[in-house]
Amino acid sequence: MGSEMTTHVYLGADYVVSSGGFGTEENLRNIEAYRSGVIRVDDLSLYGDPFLAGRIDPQREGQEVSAAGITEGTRLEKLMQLIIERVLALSGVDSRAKETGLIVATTKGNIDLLRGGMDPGQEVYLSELARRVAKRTGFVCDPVVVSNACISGVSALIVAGRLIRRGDYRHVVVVGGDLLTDFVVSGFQAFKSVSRGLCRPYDRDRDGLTMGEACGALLLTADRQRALSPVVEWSGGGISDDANHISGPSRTGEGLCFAIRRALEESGIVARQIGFVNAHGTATVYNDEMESKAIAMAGLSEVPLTSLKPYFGHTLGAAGVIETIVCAAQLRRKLIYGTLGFEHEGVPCPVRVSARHAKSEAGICLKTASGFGGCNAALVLALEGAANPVVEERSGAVRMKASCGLQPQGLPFGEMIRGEFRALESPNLKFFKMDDLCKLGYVTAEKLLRQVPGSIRPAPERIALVLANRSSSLDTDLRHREILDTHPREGASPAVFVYTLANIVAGEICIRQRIQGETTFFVQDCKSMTFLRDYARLLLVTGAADAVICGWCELLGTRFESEFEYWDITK
Amino acid sequence: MEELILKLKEQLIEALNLEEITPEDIDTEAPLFGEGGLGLDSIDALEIILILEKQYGIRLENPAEAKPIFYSVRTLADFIEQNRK
Repeated sequence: MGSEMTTHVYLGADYVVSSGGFGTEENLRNIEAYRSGVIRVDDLSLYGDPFLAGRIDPQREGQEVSAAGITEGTRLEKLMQLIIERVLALSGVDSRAKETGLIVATTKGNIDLLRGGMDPGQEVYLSELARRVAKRTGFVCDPVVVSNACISGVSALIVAGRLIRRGDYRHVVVVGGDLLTDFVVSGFQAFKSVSRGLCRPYDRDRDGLTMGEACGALLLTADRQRALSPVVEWSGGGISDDANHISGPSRTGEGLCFAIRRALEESGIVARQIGFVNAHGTATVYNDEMESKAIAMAGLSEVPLTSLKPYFGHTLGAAGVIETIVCAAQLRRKLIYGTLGFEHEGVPCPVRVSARHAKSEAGICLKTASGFGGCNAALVLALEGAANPVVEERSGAVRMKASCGLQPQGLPFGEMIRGEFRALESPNLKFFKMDDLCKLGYVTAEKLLRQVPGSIRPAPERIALVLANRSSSLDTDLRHREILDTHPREGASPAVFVYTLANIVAGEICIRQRIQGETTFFVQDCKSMTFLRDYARLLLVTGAADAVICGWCELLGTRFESEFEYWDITK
Repeated sequence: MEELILKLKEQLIEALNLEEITPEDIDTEAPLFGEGGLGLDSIDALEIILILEKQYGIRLENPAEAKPIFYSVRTLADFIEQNRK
């Protein structure tokens, strides 16, 4: 652990590759000209019927990658390498220095390479993807992988800022990337959440999201010399969970509001100082409803609200990174980008949305994201001096109150977990609907928390859940893949697809245990309780949480292992 | 009709992973969603749409019309009876 807390974290060089072009500048030019990158995709390898999506131009991609001399790796690895190299070159930061870190945000990584069968190749492990990319771009530090559904990008930026503040790194390159794949497209189609036309966030005629693919890289740094000008600071962040449903957004907006409040608090600002909010704005009926409620609850109804999804589509793990880059650009250019296609407001609480770009004197903006598993994230960016970040360490003693784990003991997983569940004598029909990874986490968390009396547990929004594993959701990814391969015409099963995200296990635990604080899911090459304990300690001493459940929750095929710990801090 | 109802219950149990529940446990008239009854949710609703498509060749064009149809096993069976091809 670092010895000194750094107050200021700056936004350095950035690079975006999306359907809006190569490089941040080209993407911004297209947005400023109200040009969407979304096109009609007619590709049987992605989906049986044509659909609208933001797709990276394949020809451009080939040219850019080969011009950069990148020959090795999968499609996503090459794109990530390309944009990391650009950010390193633009900023002059040395990836070979120990003070430089790399955080990778992705939901599905190289999932386009997953084939049926029980022995997936190395490349589909998210930690392997990160390791390869880090190696090819010269990093000596081990990369950190965050896979937290659609908040992955914002989550990774929040983690990065915190690690810089703690002194673990001086610079961190955060790279977010996800591709359009039949794996994901089929799932969203089965969820009936894909819009017929271009998505229309907050509009009364919205009928779903538009998919997209993108990669973005952004340097966060403690070194003001490396900041882009005008200087924008990472001021504070918050993450929360709805503890309501694993795929449906909260009906109250309370969860997102918790994340926003925490981000404001950490930034030392109040709601009226915010110049604009760039929310997730997927344009599904319920997401946008939920956001309008959260925004009202957070006292932000009067603040301009925008969504960038009509320009790029929903780019999953990349979304938080590329949209944060565009937010910083808006602060620097004194502009607020309009929400393309918006006409008539159609959300339950009033919001200030406009289709047109507007001039702005905003010094501070708020970026939010929400995703499956009920997770929400909020990040405050501010022009230098506009916010007043609170960087204090609490002096209480951090201590472990309980621990619990499950390992194979001769019984097959199904039999073991059923026995453990019955022994809890707490029937719950929902348990049987979960995939095996969730069952493992659910039972482990229940056993752990039975050791912690309710009287010493803090409020739901003050408890965090930080999990990690090696195989993310591969066990269910294989099932989903098999369904697609064996029934290509019938399509995906929603009840299977929803579990193809690593962090759903955290969502299930939050629902059961009523945990509404931060959930963050890391993917590691091998189990490191030290890393998780360090992160738990960080959340406790910085006041991001008053109790943290951290642990390892790994399952693939017949192999499984869980180890959870409950940590808190004395007053 | 009784045969269809039994079949439907078996298909629901299979598709929705309702382990530890038998067709006899499901009340034909009771609400499928929300508190009481089976407590199904939105993901289950999507799976029921798939049962209609795959097993009975019925496409629900507008998910909004699903609510009264999905009320109970009885209403679902009535709908299938009227629309199956």
